[in-house]
Amino acid sequence: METWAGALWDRWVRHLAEAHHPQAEIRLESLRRPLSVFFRGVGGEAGRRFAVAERRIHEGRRTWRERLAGTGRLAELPHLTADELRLPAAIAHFSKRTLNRDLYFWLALLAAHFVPNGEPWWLANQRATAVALARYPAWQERYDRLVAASLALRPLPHQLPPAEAAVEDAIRAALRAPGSVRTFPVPPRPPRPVMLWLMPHEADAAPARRRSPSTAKEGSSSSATPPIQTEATEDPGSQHGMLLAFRAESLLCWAEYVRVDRSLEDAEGDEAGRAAAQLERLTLAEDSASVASRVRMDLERPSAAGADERLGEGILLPEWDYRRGQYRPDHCRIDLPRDEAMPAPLPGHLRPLTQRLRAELERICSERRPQPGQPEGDALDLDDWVRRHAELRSGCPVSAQPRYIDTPRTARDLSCLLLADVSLSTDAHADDAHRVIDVIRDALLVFTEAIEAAGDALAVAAFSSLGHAHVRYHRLKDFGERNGPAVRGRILTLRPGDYTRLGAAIRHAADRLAATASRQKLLLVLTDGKPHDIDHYDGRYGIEDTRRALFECRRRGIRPFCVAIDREAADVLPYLFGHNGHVVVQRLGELAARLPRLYAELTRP
Amino acid sequence: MTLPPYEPASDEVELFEHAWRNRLPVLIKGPTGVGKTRFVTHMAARLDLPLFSVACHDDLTAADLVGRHLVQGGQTVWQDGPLTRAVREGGICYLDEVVEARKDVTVVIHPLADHRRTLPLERTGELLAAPPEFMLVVSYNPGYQNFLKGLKPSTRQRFVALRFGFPDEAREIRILQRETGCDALLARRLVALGNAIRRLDGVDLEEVASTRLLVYAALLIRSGLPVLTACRAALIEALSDDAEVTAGLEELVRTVLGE
Repeated sequence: METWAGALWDRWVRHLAEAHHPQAEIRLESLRRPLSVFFRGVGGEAGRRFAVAERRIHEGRRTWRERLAGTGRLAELPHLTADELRLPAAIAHFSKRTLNRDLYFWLALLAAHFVPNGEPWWLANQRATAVALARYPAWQERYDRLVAASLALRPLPHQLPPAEAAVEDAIRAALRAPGSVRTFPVPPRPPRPVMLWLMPHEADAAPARRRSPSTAKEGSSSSATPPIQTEATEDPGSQHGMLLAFRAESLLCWAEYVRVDRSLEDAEGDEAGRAAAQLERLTLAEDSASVASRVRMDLERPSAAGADERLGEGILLPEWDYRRGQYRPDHCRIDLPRDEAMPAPLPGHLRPLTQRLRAELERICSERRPQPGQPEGDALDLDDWVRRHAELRSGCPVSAQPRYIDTPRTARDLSCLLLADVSLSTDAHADDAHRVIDVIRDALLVFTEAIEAAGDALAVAAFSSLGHAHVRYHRLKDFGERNGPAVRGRILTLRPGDYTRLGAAIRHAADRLAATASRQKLLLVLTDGKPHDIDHYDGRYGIEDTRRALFECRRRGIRPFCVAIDREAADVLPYLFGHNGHVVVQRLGELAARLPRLYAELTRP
Repeated sequence: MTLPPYEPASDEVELFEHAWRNRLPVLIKGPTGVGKTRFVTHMAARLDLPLFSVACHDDLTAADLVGRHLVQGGQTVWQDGPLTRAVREGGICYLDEVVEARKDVTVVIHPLADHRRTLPLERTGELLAAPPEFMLVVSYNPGYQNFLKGLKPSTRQRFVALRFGFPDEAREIRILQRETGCDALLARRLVALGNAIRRLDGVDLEEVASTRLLVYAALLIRSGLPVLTACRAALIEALSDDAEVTAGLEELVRTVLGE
C-alpha cells in the first residue's frame, strides 16, 4: 500500500513539476537530416555533426515544484563541441509543436553564427543572435515568439533574491534585445539555463579560451629581423570584445566572422614556436586551463609519444591534415596480414539465400539492351529498312543487305572491391543472438558467392587499425583469385580488430582497384560508424581525411559507395559519400540479402 | 530583330565575337540554368546570324544532324538536318549538351571544327565548305559527367572554351529584376536563398538552384502565389525527392524569405 501510494505521488508530482508537453514533443531523431540541410544552408560548417547532448547536472535555481519532485537537476543543454552540435534528444518545453520545432531550427541557426572566440557565454550568444537576425530578418517574428514563450517558463525576477534577480533581468534583456547587455552581474549561483542559447561546455571552455597569437598582430616594426615584443595583458576572454549595440551596425560586421579554429592549429608544439617567430609582437595571456587540457589530451592518446616516429618498411600512405590544408606524406603504414585459415564450406544456413541471390543476380546483370543496325539479330531493323529503301529509290548506292536488331549480352567490364570495417565496435551485439561481426561475415560470404554469378572481378578485404603505423588490411579475396573454400575459411576466421582509420584503408583499396584494367571500378565500403583511431584520428580530422581519400578515388575514376549499418553515422555520410553515394541498412538481419541486390542496382547496365 | 537580354559576367561577349571573326568553334561549359543557351541566342541576334539549336539526347545520331532521305508521295526527297542548314545558310549551329549525343556525331563535328571547315554529306555525295559566317557552338555540363559520358580530348581540343558559373550576387539580382520585373527586395532575397541552397552542392543535393529556377520562383511570386508555395513548386520539389531534404530546404526558404 505504501509503495503504491508512493508511486502514485511520485508520478503526480513529477507530472506537476515538469513543464513538459509530451503531446507536442519533437524528437531530434526526426529532424536530424532536415536540420543538417538547414544548418549547412545558413552557412554552418559542412563537416559538423549533430549529436544528442548528454545530461548534465546544472546548479541553477529550480522551481518549487521541481524541488518537491526532485527533478530538474539534470538537463540536456545545447552546446557546440569542436566538431559537433549537441542538441537535446527531444524538446517539449512548449505546448505548441511548431514552437518546439522552431527551437531546434533556432539553435541550428544560432550555432551557424556562433563564434567561440573566448567571449563569455552571455556575450557570445547575444552576438550570434544579433548577427543571425540581422542576416535573416525574416526570423525576427519567430524569434520573438520563442523569446516570449521561453520567458514565460523562467523565474520572475521579483521572486528571486536581489543578486539572482539582477542576473535574471540581464538575461531577459539580452533575450529581448540581443546586443544590449554589455555588462553582466556576477551570478551568485548559475542561472537557470537559457533554452534559446548555446551553453558553455566545460570540456571546450579550455581550448576556446586559448586565443591564437594572430589576434595580437598589430604593431608596426619594419626592421629586417623584428624582435619579439612580449606584453602581458588580461585574459581576453574576460573582455567585452566589440559587441555593437545597434543591429544595423552588426549587419555590416558579420563579414568579419571567419571561423578559424586556432586553438586546434597550434596543437603541435613546434608549429606554435614557428608562428611566434613570425609575429612582430606577441601577446601573452594567462590561461589557467591549458595544463589541465594537455593532461587530458595525453591520457586520451597513449601512443602519442610515437606519433611522429619514422615509419620503416612497408606500404606507406599519406594522410590529409585539414588544419594545415596539406598531406602528411608517408604517415600511415599498411600491414598486409595473410591469415591462413582452414578451408571451409559455405555454412548451411546461408545456402538457400545464396542460391536465390545467385539466380537473381545472373538475371539482372545479364539484362540485355536492344542494339539496332546489326548484321545479325532477332528482329528486322525497320527504321533502317525504311531509310535504305528511300535511299535506294533516290538512286543512292547502298547495299540492300537488311539490318537487324540484336539484343546481345552486354559485356560487363567492371571491378568491385568490397572493403569491410572490422573494428572493435563490430563486436557489439546486433540482436540477442548475433554480433555485428557475425552479420558482416555472413554478408561477405553471401556477397562473394553471389557476385561470382554476375561474372565481375571481385576483391574482398577487411580492415582495422591501431594508430597510424598499424593499419591492418586483411586480403580475404584478391582480384583474379577463385572463390572457394580458402576464401570462405579466411572470412569465417575474421575477428574484430581495434579502430577505424577509414582514410588509409580507402587509399590502399583504391590503389588495388586502380591496378585492375576494368573500365568501371566500384569501391563498396561496409562500415558501422565513423572514422576513428587513437592518435588524433577522430572527429573532424578523421572525417576530412576520409572525405579527401574519397575525393582522390573519384578523380581516379573509382566510384565509392558506402553501405552503413548504423543510423548514428547517417548524418556524416552525405558529407563523405554524397547524397547518392550511400545507403543505411536499417535492419541488420537484412544485410546479407540487401548487399548483392544493391550491387546489382548500382551496376545495372 | 530585338536583342534577347543578356547580362555579361565578364568579357564573354567580346571573346565570342573574336572567335566568330576568326572562324573558331566555341565550347561552353557550366551547370544547368546559368544562361548558356540564352548567351548563344543573344550572340546570334547580336551578330545577326540565323541560329540552329539542337538539344542532344542519347538517341541523337549523325543523320539527325546532317539530314536524311524522306519518302514523300512516292518520291524520295533529301531533307537537310540543322547542321547542314547552318552550313548552307551561314549561321550558328548550337549543340546543347553535346556529350549526350551518340558517338558517331563526333565524326561529322570534327572536320567542321578544325581548319577544314567542311561537312561531307555521304548520302548525297556532296562536300559542303562552310562559309565564313558559319560557327559551331557546343555546350556541356561537367557536373553530370560519369565515366562513360565525357567529352573526348580529341573533341575538346578543337574548341575555344568558355566556363559559365552561377552569376555573382549583384548580377543575379539584376537578371531576376529584368527577367521578371520583381522588386529589388524580392530579387535580393531570392538570390540569398539561391546562394544558401548552393552551399549544399554535392552534399545534400546533386544539382543546386540555378538562376532559371530563381526566375521561375520570382515569376510565380509576382503573379500572386504565396512565397512558400511558389518556392516549394519552383525550387524545392525541383531539386530533391527526399522528404527530409525538402523539409530542410523549406526551413531555409522560411528563414530567408519569411512566411
